[in-house]
Amino acid sequence: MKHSGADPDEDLVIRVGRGEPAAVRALVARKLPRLLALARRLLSDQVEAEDVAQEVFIRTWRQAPNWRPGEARFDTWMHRVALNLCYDRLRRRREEPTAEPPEQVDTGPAPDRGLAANETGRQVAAAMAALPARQREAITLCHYQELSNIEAAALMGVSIEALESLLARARRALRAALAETAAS
Amino acid sequence: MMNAERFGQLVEAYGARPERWPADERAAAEQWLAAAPDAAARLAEARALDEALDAWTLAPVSAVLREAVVATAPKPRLTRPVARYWWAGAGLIAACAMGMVVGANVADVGLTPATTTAEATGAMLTSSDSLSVFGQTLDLSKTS
Repeated sequence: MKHSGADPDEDLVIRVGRGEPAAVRALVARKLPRLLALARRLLSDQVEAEDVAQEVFIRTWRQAPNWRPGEARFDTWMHRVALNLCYDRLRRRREEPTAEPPEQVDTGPAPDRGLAANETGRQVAAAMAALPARQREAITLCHYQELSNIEAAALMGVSIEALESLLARARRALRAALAETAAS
Repeated sequence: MMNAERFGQLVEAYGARPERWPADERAAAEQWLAAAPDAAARLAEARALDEALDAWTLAPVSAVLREAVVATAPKPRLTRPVARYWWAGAGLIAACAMGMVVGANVADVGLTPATTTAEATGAMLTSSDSLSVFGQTLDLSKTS
């Protein structure tokens, strides 16, 4: 969850840079769920999230042969690309208010979970979608993507103090929204 | 220095799980938690929200999407397999050249270039009537 020291993806990225098909598959298996989840939670739209995820990997194939180990974690780089692509789409939504709104938030099928957990998930998804974008981003990076505070703050371009302020406000808003939903 | 105020800020921002607290403050915060009687109560509210957040799960990646992403990777270029087997082609050429030497008059000193080739493939002229190939002596007087 919290990384320190060597990049755990370094060897895999080097092999991807050499064009090894097995390494390509391994990197997709390792990173696609994570990046898709990031985009889903930020955009609340499955189709847009899949587009973002595919574009991240297209850029990854171009970057891998030039990757210099030791400069940064490759996972951080992929997150930065994904975030920038999400920012672009969110900005486009604000600039094109007449465009079709994103699909309803979908928590995904979970047949092995109880009905109560599914309903809570839907409520959380709706509450997250209602958050200001920066608060939603902070919660997504820290709670769901499990990035360290240092990594999340760097990706968002804010100080640790600013990140903690965003997280605290987001958590208060979520708690209030869930309590209101439970009461109604 | 950990105190009640800072502990509260950590829980408000990062939630109830120590593994999510900043690495450089985690140990101090855990010690504070163990020592402060009211700290556990602050965690309970944060824990409830953590669990609610965890309830928002997403569908797994579809095989269709996974294969579509894999397909965007550039196809590997075929260089190493050709380079690895270059010596096979050279060996074939040498073997053909050796065949030409065996069929020639071995007393002809003009065979020096072929001799060089024969040497390269393990053949050696031992006399005007015989040819040694990889240690086996051929009696050339019987071939004409």
